[in-house]
Amino acid sequence: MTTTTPASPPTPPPTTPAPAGRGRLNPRSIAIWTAIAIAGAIAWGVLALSRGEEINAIWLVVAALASYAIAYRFYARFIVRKVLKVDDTRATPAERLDNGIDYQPTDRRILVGHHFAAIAGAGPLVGPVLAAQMGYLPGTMWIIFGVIFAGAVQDMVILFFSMRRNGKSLGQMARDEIGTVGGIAALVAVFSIMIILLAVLALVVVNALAKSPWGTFSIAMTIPIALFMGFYLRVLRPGRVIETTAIGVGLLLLAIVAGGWVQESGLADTFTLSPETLTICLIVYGFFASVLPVWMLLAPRDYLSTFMKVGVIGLLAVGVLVAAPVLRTEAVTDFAREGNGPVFSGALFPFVFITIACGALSGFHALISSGTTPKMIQKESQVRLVGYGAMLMESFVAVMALIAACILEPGLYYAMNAPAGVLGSTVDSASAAVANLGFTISPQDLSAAAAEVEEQTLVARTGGAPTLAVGMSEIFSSFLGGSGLKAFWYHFAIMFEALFILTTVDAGTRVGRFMLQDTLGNIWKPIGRVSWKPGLWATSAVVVLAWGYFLYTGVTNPLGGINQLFPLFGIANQLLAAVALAVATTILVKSGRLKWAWVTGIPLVWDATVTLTASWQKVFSDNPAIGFFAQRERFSDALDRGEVLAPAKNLDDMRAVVTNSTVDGVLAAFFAILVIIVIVNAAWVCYKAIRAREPLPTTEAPYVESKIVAPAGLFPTAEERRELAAAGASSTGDRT
Amino acid sequence: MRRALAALRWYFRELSGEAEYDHYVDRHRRLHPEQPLMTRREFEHCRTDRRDETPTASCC
Repeated sequence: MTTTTPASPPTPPPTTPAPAGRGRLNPRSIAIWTAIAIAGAIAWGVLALSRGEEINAIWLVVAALASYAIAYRFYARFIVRKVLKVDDTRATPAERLDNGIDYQPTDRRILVGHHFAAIAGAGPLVGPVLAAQMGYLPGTMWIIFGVIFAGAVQDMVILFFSMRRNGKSLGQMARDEIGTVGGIAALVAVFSIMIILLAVLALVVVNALAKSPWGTFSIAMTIPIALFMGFYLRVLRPGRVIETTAIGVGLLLLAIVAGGWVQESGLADTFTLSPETLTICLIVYGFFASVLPVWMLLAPRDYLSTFMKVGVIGLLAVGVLVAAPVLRTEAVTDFAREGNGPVFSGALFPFVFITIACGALSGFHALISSGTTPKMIQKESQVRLVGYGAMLMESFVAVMALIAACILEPGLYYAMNAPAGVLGSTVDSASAAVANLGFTISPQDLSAAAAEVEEQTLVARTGGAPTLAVGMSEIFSSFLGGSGLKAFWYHFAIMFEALFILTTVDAGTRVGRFMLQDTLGNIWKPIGRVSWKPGLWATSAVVVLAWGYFLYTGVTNPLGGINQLFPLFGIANQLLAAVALAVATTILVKSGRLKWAWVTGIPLVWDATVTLTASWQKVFSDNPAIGFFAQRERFSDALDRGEVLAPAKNLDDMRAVVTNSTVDGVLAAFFAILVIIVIVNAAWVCYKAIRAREPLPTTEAPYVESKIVAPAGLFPTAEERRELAAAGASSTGDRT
Repeated sequence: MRRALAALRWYFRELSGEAEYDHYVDRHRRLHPEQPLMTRREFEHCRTDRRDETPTASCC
């Protein structure tokens, strides 16, 4: 199956096990790593110490890359060797259970690509843009240190433990290691997160497309394009993925250009949709997309969005390096200290750490790391590249999103990201509101900025995507096409985000439905059958309506949907991370590695502190800007008196705020209770394990000797080359 | 240069799943050569339709 498997069965397996202690530091590598460390230290110094001067974004890139390199080389290696004790003589499930379908040994370079494409989505692009209201420094530090000590560790450790258990899912591991209660809590957590995630992502799309005929037309065109690709791939040219994707990307670019023509034409009104109409369109789309066969819509969309994702992220990295833009945001803003920011409320601690989830620490990744990836790893040592490495890449995406937001004039940033209730609907009201926040942008500049990207308005375009798109158009147009192409790049960036958000909406609805069918199937058999259509439609409708409800309340919420829902999404995602880290820590303790339990234990304590503090404030804070129930009380008291409080415009708005705050507050409390259940349960299991005289029985699959020879890292070492040669395989990986 | 292009082509074919059929044929010939081989069309249909039954999430 793989390049390195001996081609025919009689070939004798290599007898020498992979040596454990290779790679002593030689003078050359000491020199290289010292240089990297110095470069990183200088970059961090510049970022942390400069005040009031303009900082080039390149420093951010250098600080990130140097930190990643050191973490990957030293910390990840330490974890792999000392804590996880990977054993390359041990066959992975991919080798033992190889069935050519879900279990199959896959080249590490391919697998890291698959894994990265699966974990990287809109999350790392949205969170950092919102967190830019705190300044560039808090976000940068959390993204980089968070990924090194928490996020990448979580992804790699869960990947490893799942791999040792034949690719068990996080839910199964939680049940096996922590107990039934922990397992159920984990399952409920996954389902709720899915719903909130889909609502927030759909909200990002609605905010990006509302009142933008150009964007709406281009995104609408992706549906016929995907249907055509699906038909082409199914009927005309089965399996010709690259060719189909190339055609699709061509059509996609055409759709972006054509969006500009539509905007100028008589069709513009047809594609100018209100947020409410877009919401209904998305809900209807979500339902039909998720019940159609995968080949029609989802599979071709997946190819397109993966291609766009990887391509645009690559382009952005090149763009930041070539354009070397200057950061306009302060290092740390007053909003970070006082917690009164308009984009999301609350002080730096804990809210920066839940606003930026993906890119630093994302519980969602634990689902991917315990899903398909562990069933495809060739060699145990490759968890470092695939688990830790792919997460570092995602973190870098988050750094670039932060850069794209921080190069904008703060006045423009707040005019785009404060809720509509604060800004009003005209450039004049927005300019005045921004001045109130302590920043300046003239109504003329605001109109000019919108005209430059050929949008009707940029006022209150919350959700992160439009801000990122303006930042990206700034970077791209500086080296590709000049200011004449700015509008194209803006809509290109919107397309790129909306494209893969819609793919996630489709795929996520399917996953949610699958979980629902699975659970309900225990009560009533027929609904569990995936081939029974009425059951499929009913469960799909339930999932779509669940996220559709939150989407609709988000769109119509006078207080701003992003402002209200994004913290919930962050809390939910970090809660899942707490479940994953609790599972990992429990496994370490139960397998007699108490002295290394801090590797996942410290991130767990940190994550739990952050999540629980945030939930506490969201539930109990008496500041109506932060606490959901304080907000509810304020609006319901006013409602009793028959008053209308800004930003609500009438009594219906007031009632909407009261209902939303109640639902959101209950959810925040519910999430916190789930975390506490899982952590207390895990702590009890750990305590029993420490007190137990006999070592507890292992839950790992038994040892079988491996016959595969494959390198651990991206590039084979000299020693690995010799082993590969001895095994009679080519090291280039060419399969000809 | 030619080697770099070949490596690039290999990477894209593997990453996109276009090479899956070749792997299937290899594997099938090695393990049960006596059984009939699926055509590319049949194989691709099977491969995509499997995803209807077991959806996988991509991330946030």
